[in-house]
Amino acid sequence: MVEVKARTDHTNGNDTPMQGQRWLVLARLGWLIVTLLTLALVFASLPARYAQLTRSVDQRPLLELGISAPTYARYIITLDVIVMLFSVLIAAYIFFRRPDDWVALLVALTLVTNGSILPLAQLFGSPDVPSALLFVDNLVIYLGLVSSVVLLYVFPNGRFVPRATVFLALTWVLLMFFAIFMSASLLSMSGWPVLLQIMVVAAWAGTGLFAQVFRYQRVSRPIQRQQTKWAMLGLSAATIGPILVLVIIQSGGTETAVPNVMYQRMGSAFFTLGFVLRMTGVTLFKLVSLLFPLSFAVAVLRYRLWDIDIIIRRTLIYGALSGTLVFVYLFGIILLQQILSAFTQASQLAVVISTLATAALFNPLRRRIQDGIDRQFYRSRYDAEKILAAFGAGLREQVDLDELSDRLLVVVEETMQPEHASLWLRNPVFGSGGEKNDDR
Amino acid sequence: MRNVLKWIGILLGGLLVVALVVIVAIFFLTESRINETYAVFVTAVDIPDQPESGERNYPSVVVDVCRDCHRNDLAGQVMEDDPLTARLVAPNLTAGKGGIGAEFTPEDWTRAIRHGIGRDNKSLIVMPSSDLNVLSNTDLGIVISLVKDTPPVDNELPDTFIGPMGRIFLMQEPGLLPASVIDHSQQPPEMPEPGVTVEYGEYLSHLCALCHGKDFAGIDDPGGGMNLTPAGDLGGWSETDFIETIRTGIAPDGEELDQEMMPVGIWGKLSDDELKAIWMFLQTLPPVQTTTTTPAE
Repeated sequence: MVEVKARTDHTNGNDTPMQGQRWLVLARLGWLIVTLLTLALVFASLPARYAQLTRSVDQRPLLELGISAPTYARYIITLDVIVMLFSVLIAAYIFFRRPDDWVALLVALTLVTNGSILPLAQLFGSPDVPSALLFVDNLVIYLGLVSSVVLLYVFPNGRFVPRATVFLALTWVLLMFFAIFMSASLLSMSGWPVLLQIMVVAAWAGTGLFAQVFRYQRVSRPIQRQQTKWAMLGLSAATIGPILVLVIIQSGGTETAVPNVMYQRMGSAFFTLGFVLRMTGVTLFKLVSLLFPLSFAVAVLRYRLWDIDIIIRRTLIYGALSGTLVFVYLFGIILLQQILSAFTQASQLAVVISTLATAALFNPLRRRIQDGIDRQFYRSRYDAEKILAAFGAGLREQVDLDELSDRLLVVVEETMQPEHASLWLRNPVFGSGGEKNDDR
Repeated sequence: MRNVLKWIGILLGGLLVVALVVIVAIFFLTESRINETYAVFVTAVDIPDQPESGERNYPSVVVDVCRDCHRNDLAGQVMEDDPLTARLVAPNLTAGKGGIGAEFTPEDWTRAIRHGIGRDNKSLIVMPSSDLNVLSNTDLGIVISLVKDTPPVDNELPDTFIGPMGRIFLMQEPGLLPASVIDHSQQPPEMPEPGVTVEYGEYLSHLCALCHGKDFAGIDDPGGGMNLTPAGDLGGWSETDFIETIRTGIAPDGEELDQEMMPVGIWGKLSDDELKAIWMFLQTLPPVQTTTTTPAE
């Protein structure tokens, strides 16, 4: 009988309680005000945004695709509203589940402001919006830009890790203040070259991600590591937001239409392809930005926390597998059609061959991808599987009980890494039939 | 089964290698086209110190067409910026910071406009030189003089860049590198005597082909111009209708033309005689039965 005493963690409680009833009330009130303002601003600005989208879009690729400008505008607005509502919904859930945890409140604020930051950034400096609304717009954008980076430094335990990130956070707060509220100032990034702006934003996003990795390796307890793993997934998506926001603000948020002379010179297919690629990018970005609320919801609320590894691992494996198979399938069809077109008109043969090849490839490819991912990201699982396989193979040749017992304990320690492991065997007792029992 | 999988693996590996080779080949093929140098004899063009075209407005209209891409102040702009297809930049033509105006010699201007070749002897990208080499020496000189006369504007711009999808287009459409399709030995056209004549009208109409097609029968693409032949969209129009439409942007049936597709603000600057000559020429075109659906209609 093997006794295994596993290490346990008791961190399911509140890690970062807010001290002082007054601050708690203020923080909650602040979140409620910002959320209501953001919702009101986004919905109030929808007609202006709709008009801006229908007016600024190049009609020529839309005509080629058979899409009207209002349909295009409705599509973009629907995506924006879905991302925003989803973020607000998750933020509200976190707010009501953890109203006394200040990191949870910061996450809720970040979700609300960042969930609506892209449509609000489009309004930055827009002549269609009254100046009073523009101030609120700037405030929400500012809170979004600040909170998304600061959260990287303090999540999940509320402390700045490493300590130097306090100064980085303060510098970022100031930089964003000048960029948003004092754009004419020399310290305002909006007057800097675009490349420098992108480098600055990327540097702060990079230090944030570094802080999370540092925390993961040096500071976090096991459960915090699980939280950080989810947070990293969402924050990787969220850090793209500030870069895009600055690019949008820099470009004024409007697309310049290619002059018709140039359009005709290049041919409509060229620009239609560019438009389709841009729309695909926009759609993918909006969908990816949903990772931010989703991952934080899981990380903070610890919903089915211990399934996280399984979900992430399966996502990685089947994501990579699907992508590879789709590539092989499509590329196979294109190439086989080109090769077979010299001999036959029918394209079904290429489809059949490509389908069969893809189907035959499924299992071997899945195994290889799984091995690769386990080797890279789940080393212990990979090692454990190898150790167990070697132990299983060795059992067939092992006859010495002492040696077997020792090896079993080594395998348990290596694979499960318990705090303590011991092996108990019953002493040998000779029964009526003369058989020997052992008790150790 | 293992053997089958092994062969499938080898086949797929081979396909991947072929794909890689194709991608690399496209890159190097297009790169060699982009970097191809052209040695051309540039005809000397007199550039007047004071741009003067008398009663004729055509040269200044040509400069306005340049403004369509190079911005109103000719300081250039990024017209399209997509990492997958292309970043298309119309350069700053003025003598300001980032502009080419201060360093371009008369030969450089002529080489660029007429032959589509830059100072490095490589083809310019998407410059419509094959449509602009229809200008006579006199008109080209006035056009260059007008451009040089523009006040300097500081505007530094990035370089034009062709992305991976754009390179596939480049393989299929050599005209994107104008120097590769222009007959560089062709002598510049002589300008006919200005007046309300078919010959002068034909000379003035060459630039219309940019959007209305080489046979003026229209282009059935979004933004493409309408059919200008007698059997086309102008079939029932009179000369007065034509001039009124170009001047006001409102067709005889009351429909307003899209200014971005049909820039009447530019073409409406032509004099009455110039517009009459164009109309006269259009009436001599062989009728072509096509209907075009464009935003301008």
